[in-house]
Amino acid sequence: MRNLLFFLVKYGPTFLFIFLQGLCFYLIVNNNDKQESIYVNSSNLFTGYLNQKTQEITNFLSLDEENALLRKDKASLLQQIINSNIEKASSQIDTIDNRYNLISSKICSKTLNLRNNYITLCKGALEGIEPGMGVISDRSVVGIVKEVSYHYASVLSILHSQSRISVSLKNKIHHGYILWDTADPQYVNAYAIRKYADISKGDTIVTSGYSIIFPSNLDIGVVEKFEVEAGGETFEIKVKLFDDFNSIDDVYVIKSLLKNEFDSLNINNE
Amino acid sequence: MNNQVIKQFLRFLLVFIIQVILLKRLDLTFGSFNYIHIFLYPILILFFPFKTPRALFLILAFLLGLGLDFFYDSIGVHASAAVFLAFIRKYILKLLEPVEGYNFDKNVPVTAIGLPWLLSYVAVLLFAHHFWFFSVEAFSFVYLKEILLRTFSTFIASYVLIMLYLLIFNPKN
Repeated sequence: MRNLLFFLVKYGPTFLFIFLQGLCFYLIVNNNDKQESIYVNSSNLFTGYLNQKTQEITNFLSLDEENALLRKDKASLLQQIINSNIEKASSQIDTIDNRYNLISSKICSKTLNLRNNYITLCKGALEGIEPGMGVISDRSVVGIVKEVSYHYASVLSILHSQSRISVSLKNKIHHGYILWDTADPQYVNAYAIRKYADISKGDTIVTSGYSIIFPSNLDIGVVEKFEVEAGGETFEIKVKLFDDFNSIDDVYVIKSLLKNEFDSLNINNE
Repeated sequence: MNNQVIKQFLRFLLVFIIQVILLKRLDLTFGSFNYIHIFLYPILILFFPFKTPRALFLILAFLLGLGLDFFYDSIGVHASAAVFLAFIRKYILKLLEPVEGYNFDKNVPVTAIGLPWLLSYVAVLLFAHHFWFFSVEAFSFVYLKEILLRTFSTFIASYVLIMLYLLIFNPKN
């Protein structure tokens, strides 16, 4: 008995250490599991609130810049309306006019320097945001919504080692996907585009529209460098993102109005 | 005694808030070099009252790490590194023990032991913490080069900041 007590006093902390490390690893692994992604993250109400307050101060300090951007956005939106009106007038076939709705949101907090980066939006389930929706900025694709609470949403940024988005070359039929190599937040890599694709520096990489998450032809970045993987059949392409993630404050969440229809079709196929 | 606890708690809060509000937002990307992230919070564990029972100390470190994880969206990673740091502190203290031994009883700040001791104490533990943190974050030694790069660059930045912090908050020395 005395020996047991002595043993516990001497090695207790070591066992506690091993136990706590085990707990940590359990949490990490559990958190990476898509199905069981846990609730405690920055979409949690309290940390979200604090993040929001600090972001509000930052926002105030960059109001001028923000206004300039807003004016520019407004201009481009007006331009789009005019263009689509012309298109409608000239086309004979009735198309479904509203496939996607955009929900605009501010960013409450974000990281850039880690391997796995998340963005927290200041809007959540109350505004109609759901997990799995795509998120874009004015110039580029930003990520996919992972978790939502009532007032906040946590977004898996494309600067996340597990974020994978289907892309294609603009105006061409070749498809692939992008992954972040976790080094530089200005670049992502595109893979799986066949080596006979006609590609040149400066080509635009856009979303392929193969999933319902993003509409097709949304800009992502331009081809900076490309090479055929040794002995491979596909290109490895370095893509410079259109948007500087550090300066993004406003994003749009894409709500697909045909998602249910699309999903039911996929279930039928299986 | 009570006064000491309150003082400790306030320091805890201050460093925690600096970490999650200021340092988390700092973007230290130079061109394509994106490996720097500053961690100030290890200082809480490094200079946590040295006479704390070890088990309690480990649990507090775990809670601190978990609290940071909530803000960093990295459940478990900071907690793991913080617990590791708390665990090895005793051994590093023993390793660096001056000839005359430690003097934790009186109201002498630990920094009074001397600058060379302080420099090496912080350096060894901080480096161990960062290496553990980035290893756990990558979760595989396949990325050893990247882990080392992140460890070294983050270590330098954190080390400078922690030394500045000590300079400001321990004016007696």
